[in-house]
Amino acid sequence: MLQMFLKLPYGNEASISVTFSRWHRTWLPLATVLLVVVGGCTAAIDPPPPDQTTQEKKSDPTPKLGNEKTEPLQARVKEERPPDSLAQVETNEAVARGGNVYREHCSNCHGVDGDGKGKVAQDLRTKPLDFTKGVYKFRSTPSGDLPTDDDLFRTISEGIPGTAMDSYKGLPKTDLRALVMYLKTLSPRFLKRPPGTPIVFPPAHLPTQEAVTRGLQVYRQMQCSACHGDEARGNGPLAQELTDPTGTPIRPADLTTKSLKSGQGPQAIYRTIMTGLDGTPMPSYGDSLDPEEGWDLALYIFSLAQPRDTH
Amino acid sequence: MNISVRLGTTLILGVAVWVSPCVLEAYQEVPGLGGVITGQVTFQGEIPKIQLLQVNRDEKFCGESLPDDSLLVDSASKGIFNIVVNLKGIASGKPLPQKDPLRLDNRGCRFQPSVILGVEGSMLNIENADPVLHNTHILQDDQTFLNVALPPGGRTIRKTLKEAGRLDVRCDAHKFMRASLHIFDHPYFTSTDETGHFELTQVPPGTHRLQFWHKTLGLKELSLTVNESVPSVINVSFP
Repeated sequence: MLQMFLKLPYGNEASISVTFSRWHRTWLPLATVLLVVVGGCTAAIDPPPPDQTTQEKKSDPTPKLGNEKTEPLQARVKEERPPDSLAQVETNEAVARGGNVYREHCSNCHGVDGDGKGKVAQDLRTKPLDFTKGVYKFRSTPSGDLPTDDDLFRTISEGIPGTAMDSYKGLPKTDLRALVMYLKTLSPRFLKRPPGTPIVFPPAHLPTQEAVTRGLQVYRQMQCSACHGDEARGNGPLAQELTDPTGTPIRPADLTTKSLKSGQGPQAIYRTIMTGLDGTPMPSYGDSLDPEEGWDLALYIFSLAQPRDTH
Repeated sequence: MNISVRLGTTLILGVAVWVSPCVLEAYQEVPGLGGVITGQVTFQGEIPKIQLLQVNRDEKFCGESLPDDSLLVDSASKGIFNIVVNLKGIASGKPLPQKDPLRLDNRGCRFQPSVILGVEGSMLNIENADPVLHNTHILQDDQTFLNVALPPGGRTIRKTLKEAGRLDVRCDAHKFMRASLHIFDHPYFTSTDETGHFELTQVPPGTHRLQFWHKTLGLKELSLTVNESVPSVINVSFP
C-alpha cells in the first residue's frame, strides 16, 4: 500500500529520492498520516523484549525506562497527543500553517529548506539543527529513536538555554503544534518509522542530602568525570578531544551552570542521562542505570547549580 | 571460469546507499537447491605493513599503541581477511539464518569482533570487559544510530537490530577503536577467511549483483549469472 502511494507522484521508486524536495511538502504529510494509521515500519533498533510477562509487568510497581515491549502504535499516538492538538494539526492545512510559522520564525537560522544553513547560521556559535537529518538531541525516547511530537514541542516552546534558540512560548499553541507537524516533513526518517517509546520517569522525590550523596557516587561510578570533570565543570580529561559524528569539536556541558541546553530541572537532567544526546558523544545511560540511580544522579547534577550555603 | 560478468566491476568508495526495507517487499523464502558463488579476494600490489594506532587515553590499561588490524593480508596467498561479501537487493531464496545474538565486546580497548554480520531482527549484545569507560556509538551516514554508555563492570546492553544497513561503530572516548556492523534483510552474506576465500550457497539461478566491502578499501560491485549445475568462481582484487 505504501509502495503504491509513494509511486503516485513520479511512478517509480528511483525518482523519490531525487525529487524528494519538490513533492515532499505536498505528499509527505499525507504519507506520514498514512503510516501512523497503518503502523507500517518499525524503528531501526529496539531494546530487547522484557523478561517479564505482561501480567507480571502490570503488578510490578517499579518504574521502567521504556524498555518494555512496544505498545500498539495507535494507542501510543493517542496517549502522546495533547488535548490541544487534535485532528486539526494532522491535516495538510496544518502543515501549511506550520510552514508559514517556520518561514517567519525559523528559516533565518535553520534555512528555508531546514538544512541548518540559514542566513545567520554562520554567525552563531552553536550551529542551528539540520532538520533534514532527522536526528534530535533532546528526546524522551531511547538513543537512535525519533523524538515524540511533545519532545519537539517542548524544545520549540522552551528554547535552548545558552544558544540563539529562543523560547517560542509566546506563539499560539496551535501554531507550535502545526510547526511540529511541518518539521517532521523535512526529514524522510519520520516517513520510515514511528517515534520511539518515551522513557518512564520514576516518582519524583526531593533532592535530599542523602539522594545527592548517592548521586555523587553514581557520577563517579559511571565515570561522568571523564568528560565533565571531577567538579562537573565540563573540563574532564576527554573534554578537548570530543567531536560530533562529523568531526566537529564539541565540548561537554559545564553542569554547574543554570543553562543546561536540555533544561535545568531534575526531570530534564534525568531525561538527558537516560536517553543521551544523539549527534553528540553524550551516550544513553538508560541501559546502565536503574531509574532510582538515574534520579539520584539527576538530583546531584541539579544540586550543582543551586545556591550554596556558605555558613 | 564458469561465470558471465556482464557489466564489469564498479569501484565505489564511500558509504553504500541502502534502500529502506519499508519500500521493498519483504524477503521471500523459496525452496530450492540453487547454485554456489565462491572465490577469493586478494590484495594487488605490495602488502602494506601493519601500522600502529596511537592510544590517546587510558594508556595504563590500553597500552601506548595498538596494531591497526583493519587491513590484514595473508602474505602467502595475498588474500584479504574480513572482506564483507553479499548479494545486493535479492528478494527471495534460501531460508533466513537463525537470528543468533550478535556480540560486540569492548575488550583490551578494541571492538571484538571488528566486523559483525547479521540478519535484521538479530539481537546485538554489547559488553565492556575493560576496567575503563567506553561508549558504543553506532552511526549510519555520520548520524547517530545508537549511542550507549558502557561503564566498567556494567551490564550487557541488548538491542534488537530491526533495519538493514552498513553501520560504523566508534568509541568517542577512544577514537582509535573502530568496527563495522552489517545487517542484511536476506541470507546471502559472508566474510572472507584469513586467505581471502568466501562462499555463498543456495543462490537462486539467474543474474545477481555481488558486493565486496572493506572499511578502508571501499566497495566493489559486479554483476554475475548463477546456474545450479556449476559453481560461479569470482576472484576480485583490491584496491
